[in-house]
Amino acid sequence: MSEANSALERLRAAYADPYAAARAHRASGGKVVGYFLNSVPEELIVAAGCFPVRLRGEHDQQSPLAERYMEEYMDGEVRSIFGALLDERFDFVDLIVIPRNSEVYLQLYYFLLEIPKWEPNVRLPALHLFDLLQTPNSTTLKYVTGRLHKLADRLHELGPSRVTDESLSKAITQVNSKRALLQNAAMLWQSPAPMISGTDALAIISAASFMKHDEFVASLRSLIASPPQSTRDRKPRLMLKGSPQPDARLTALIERVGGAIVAHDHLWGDRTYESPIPERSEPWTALARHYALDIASPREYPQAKADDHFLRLVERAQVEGVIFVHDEWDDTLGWEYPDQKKALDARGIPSLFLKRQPYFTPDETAQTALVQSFVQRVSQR
Amino acid sequence: MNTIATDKMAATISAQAHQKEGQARFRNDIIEGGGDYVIADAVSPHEIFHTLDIPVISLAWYSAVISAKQLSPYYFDLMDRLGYHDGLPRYGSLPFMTTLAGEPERAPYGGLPKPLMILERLRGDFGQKIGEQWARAFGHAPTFLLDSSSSTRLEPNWHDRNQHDWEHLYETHRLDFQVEQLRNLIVTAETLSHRAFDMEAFVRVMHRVNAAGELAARAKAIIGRARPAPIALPEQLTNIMAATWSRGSEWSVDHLRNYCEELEARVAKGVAACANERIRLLWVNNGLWFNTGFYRAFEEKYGAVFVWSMYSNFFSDGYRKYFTDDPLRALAARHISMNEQLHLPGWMADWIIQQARDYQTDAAVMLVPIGDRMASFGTKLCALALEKAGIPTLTLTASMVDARLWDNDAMIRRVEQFLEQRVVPSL
Repeated sequence: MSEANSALERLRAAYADPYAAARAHRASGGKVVGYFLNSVPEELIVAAGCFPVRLRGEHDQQSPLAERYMEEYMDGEVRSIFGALLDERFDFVDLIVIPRNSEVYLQLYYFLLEIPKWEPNVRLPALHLFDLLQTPNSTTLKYVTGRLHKLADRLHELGPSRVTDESLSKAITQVNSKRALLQNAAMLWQSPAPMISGTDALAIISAASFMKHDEFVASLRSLIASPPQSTRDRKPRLMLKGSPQPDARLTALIERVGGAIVAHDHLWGDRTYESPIPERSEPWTALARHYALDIASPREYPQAKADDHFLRLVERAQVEGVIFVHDEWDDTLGWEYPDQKKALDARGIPSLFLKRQPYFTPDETAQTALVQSFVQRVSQR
Repeated sequence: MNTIATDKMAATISAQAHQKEGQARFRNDIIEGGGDYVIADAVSPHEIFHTLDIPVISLAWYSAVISAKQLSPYYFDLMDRLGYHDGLPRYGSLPFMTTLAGEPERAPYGGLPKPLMILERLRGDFGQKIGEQWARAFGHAPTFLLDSSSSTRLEPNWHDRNQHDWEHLYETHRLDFQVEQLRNLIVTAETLSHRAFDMEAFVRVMHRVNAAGELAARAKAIIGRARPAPIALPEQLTNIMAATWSRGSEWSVDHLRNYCEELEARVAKGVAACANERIRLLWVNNGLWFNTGFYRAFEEKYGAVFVWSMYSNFFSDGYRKYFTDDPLRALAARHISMNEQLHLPGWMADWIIQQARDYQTDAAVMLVPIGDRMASFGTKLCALALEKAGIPTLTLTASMVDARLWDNDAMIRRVEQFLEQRVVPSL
């Protein structure tokens, strides 16, 4: 096996078994902190001497216990995560940090607070709400800085180390190095002749949140140093945009029918590594500014800022068509869609809207037919 | 011997007249006169604008008016045509659609002109999206975002603690942040309106809200104790909501005092909304604004009377915040967790079970709104908690505002079956 293949296989393996490294860390006596979305500062977790791991839902795991308590109108992935917690499938974490910057995750936190009354035998991990607000003003930034200190205090209760300015600065540098590496790696899927698929791109971006830092960095450096050969097939270059894609089902479906996903614009996608945190600034302020103002988020404001990122990614990856996908119960992204479609229309870029897609049981036959027709349309241009 | 209330209460007529006067003033001063006004979320600090003497149009109120005038299907069709998918929130989007439609003659009260500002409290993720586009549709109206910090813990029985012990209940770090946001809001409102905020006037407004809340509590006690109930739910809502929207005014205090006195007189005379009242029901969750007649559809056949909805006494239980030295902090405490008290599992059930006891109810009918999922969260746990407390509960899944999705006959059948199978046998 070539070095490139071997590195890619390691990253794929981490994506396929996302909690292996966390479990190993726990087994060796370390502390594991799980979190949701891209909005919990892993820098703090690293600075506190804990292992950070981003948790996700699994579309093939639906818990009857979760359905008893949680409304079907919640995002499918949140229902899956709720079920995983009730079924004690996240038993390898010492603490779960839930960010507030998505209403459904905030609701998840409150559901979990209520569960001990109803299911006293379920052993839930310890929970911490990270009350991340994102209105762009100094009052909010001050509040978020206070919440970061509170989270640091909570992490210190786990034991390993107290977060200091120095350890935080060091952790920021460390996490930035992953971001920088991913920026370099993006040419593997965004370049005019992509060397890896959109499915693998998703695996690589996601693996950054699952693997041990050194192993991820070594694997990705190796892949960048000796990348796979580009395929000669000319495929329509597409972006997948909208609801988070914790798994590669839809990406793989699109690529099976002839599209090439060269950019992911969702909460597991290319924006997760776009913005480094300034390393020369006061670390707490820099961290607050980054998470309140710079990350992709359902509550990002103003919308023009998010759309600017979106359109720059369209240009950078030379996207020829955009597939929007929204969760079955989406109540937020749909407000952005008409303007985003107009912006694409103005650039002559076609788009397809897969609205209201069930998380657990999407109609893959209908999806295939729509995507196939769209891929053909883009191909013929 | 009870007699059926055949006429509206004088208080109800007065509340409706007050609302009509407000509408006429709005048309005269704002639409024709070009005066300042503010569009604000229902759960936001209107008191600041009341103090500045700037009229407030509440999003929830205007949505309800559009819906009550049976205009929602027209605007929802427009929403579809503009590319907003059919799963998006319906309740808060109707007023925005009246602006996008650009047909003031069709919209209630001649449509909304460009406001001094739009005030959004960012509870869900989508409010800011609507507010931003709405501001643009108005030709870039200023928008103030009141961010929404979150409770890290939900302590039990908020309704026993929130009037005096709010510093602990809502957490100091959150109140500090909210006060700072309110100060920013006051400065923004002063700058845009060229008016100076009068702190003494504000203190008077805050005391009057508490006084009106005490009267709302008195009304609750009258209705809760009286069997049969002296007033039907739609009339309760007219009286309480008129006072809620005008909170802080002398009118709201006077009105609720008159309302209470009239309720007491009705009870003394044995006047009842339904003379053969046998079953008392709770209406849980948001109101059914396009069909308030539904609340009375079960009186004749079953003697089943809806005696409570969350609007009946939220003014008394949720709005009152007593203070000694910091009225702005008390205002911060009023709105900081207001929706959460009504909709979060735990907090929601705590309060509603208490209402079931206070109003001597036999069962509950719960609306699970579709198209507005924020108001549906927590309903399963709430229904389980009500059942556990011995209150049979029926859930109806329906839109709060979209008449196109309501099958009246089917819904009546469901409530009738529920009454026959679960409530009547245990009487």
